[in-house]
Amino acid sequence: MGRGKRATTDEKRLRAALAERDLELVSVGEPAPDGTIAATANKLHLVPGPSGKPLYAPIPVSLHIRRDETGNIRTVTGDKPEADAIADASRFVETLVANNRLAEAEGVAPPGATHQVEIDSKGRRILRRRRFSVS
Amino acid sequence: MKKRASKRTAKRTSIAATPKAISTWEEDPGSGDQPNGGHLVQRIAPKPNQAPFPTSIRNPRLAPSPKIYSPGTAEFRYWAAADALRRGSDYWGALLPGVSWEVGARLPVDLDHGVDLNAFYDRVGLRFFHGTAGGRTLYSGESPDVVCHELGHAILDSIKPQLWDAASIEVAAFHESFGDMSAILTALQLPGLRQAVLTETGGVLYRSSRLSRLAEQLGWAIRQDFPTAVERDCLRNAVNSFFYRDPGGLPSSGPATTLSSEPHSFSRVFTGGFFEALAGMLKARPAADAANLLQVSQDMGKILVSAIRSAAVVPTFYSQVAANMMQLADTQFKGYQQALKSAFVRHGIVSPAAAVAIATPRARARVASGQPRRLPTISLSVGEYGLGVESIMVHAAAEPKRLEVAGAALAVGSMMPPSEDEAAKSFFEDLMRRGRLKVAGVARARAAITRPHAATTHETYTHELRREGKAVILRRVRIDDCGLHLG
Repeated sequence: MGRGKRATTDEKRLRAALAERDLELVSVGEPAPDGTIAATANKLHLVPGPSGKPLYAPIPVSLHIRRDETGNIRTVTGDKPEADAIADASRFVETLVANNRLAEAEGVAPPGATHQVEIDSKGRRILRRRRFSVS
Repeated sequence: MKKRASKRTAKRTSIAATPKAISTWEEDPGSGDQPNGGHLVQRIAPKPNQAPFPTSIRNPRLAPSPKIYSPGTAEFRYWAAADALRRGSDYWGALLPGVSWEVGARLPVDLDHGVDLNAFYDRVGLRFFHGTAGGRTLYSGESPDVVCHELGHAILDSIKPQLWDAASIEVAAFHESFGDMSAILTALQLPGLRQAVLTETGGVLYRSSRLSRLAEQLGWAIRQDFPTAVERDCLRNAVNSFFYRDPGGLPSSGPATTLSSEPHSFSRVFTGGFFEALAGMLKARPAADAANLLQVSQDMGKILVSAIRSAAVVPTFYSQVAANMMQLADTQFKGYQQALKSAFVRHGIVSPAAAVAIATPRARARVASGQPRRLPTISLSVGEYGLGVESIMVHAAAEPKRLEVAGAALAVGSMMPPSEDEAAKSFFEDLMRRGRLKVAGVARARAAITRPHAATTHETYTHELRREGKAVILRRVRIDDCGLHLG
């Protein structure tokens, strides 16, 4: 769900419930006839970070969510990233560090940095994209 | 009172009926390895703040009066950027009805956000900079290539927001590639540029040209301080011979002449495949003229957008998008099947076998069954290539090894040396990927991988399949050492 696009109350509720499972909702489809909802999300997964400090990297996953009559999540499938996706995320962080593209949490991201470490409300270090650049 | 209001209305009508002209660069202020020499063109003053995909230039806050300004002035830069924004928004807007920016109703644009030889899209808006190199000051927002690259990031973010945060080398690289593809496809909406590129390349689009060379001036500026960071005549060139590798095994950084896992570097693999496909699609049209080039640019946009939307976001994102593009060609753009397949196979984005599997339900089922074929020593199974021939005979390199050595793997240690039959298969597949195998006469001609830049006056295959008795044999027909290593 884009920052400029308004989320419905139901989506907000779903987003909050998924966040409890370290999942960040990106988009959600219409419910299927059996009530299952297909959604895309990012799973926050721990990978090695710079200076030996681990980072939570967002790894794309495709979810199938089943909810009960009250709208609470009953089951979520597809929320565990594949091994190759985890390896890719680790290598991605290495590449960011090697190319001076990753800024630490403090201060404004310097020129050239595309990503920055963000500290969330639970004190976790999370990898966040700040921009795309032309070079 | 009534009379005065009527006069005012008449004046407004008069202004609206007389569009003002502005001047801008066709695609970049630079040309080749020089910071200047770009082609100027006059255009009707654009309205970037209108739909589709409206943009809003916030810095400078006020638009200068629309008229012809000299390059080097702030007024010229404003209209150059405004025209590129409008052109990019119109191109993508026609392909994406009902889609809006990820950041809100209008995409804010800052034409001079500070000092840097760069430009950004940061989910707030587009930001361009000025910087000094070689004793001159340049502005990244003056280049339509750079503007349409950044606009491309914002467009892709609107149709596939999941890519934004994805911690994946290939996903990040695809975003960069899409920016470059956006610059190329948007440039092709200019009639003068289409004609100029066709003239420059002799109608063979897959040649280095002002279209394939992206951001020549910015590339020049970066080159003044970092000579190996960019290509010798531009920032990146869509005509390149980079072949797909698992980016996890590539070095994290390297000079522009090599491939690394850095997203801008690795993006060149997909952009190369895309550009070769574009060239092949033009070749598949009735004529290689400006009208057909326009049609191809619009068809490519439709194919690309549809493929991206349905592509799974996985570490091998390139092959997902390419496979979707090929499937779309199979069902809706049949004339382009061969061009897309050949380009993506030749750049290693999909394997020849996967290309066949994508196209044929039978082969798809065979691949899905996961049953490998065991190969006799010199009889090579080639059923998966769609040649219509199940096996061929090859002269395998079966001489005993003198030294137990193999090439170095890019990450750690050595590559596993292949067995003779693996080596033979690898060699055969390499011939196909490079479009060096003549199959006509023995096998199905449509299985061939073609090269859009191949000479038309003579054959340039190095090998062919010959029927000799009951067997089909792979024979070399010539040794090619023309020095132009385009594959």
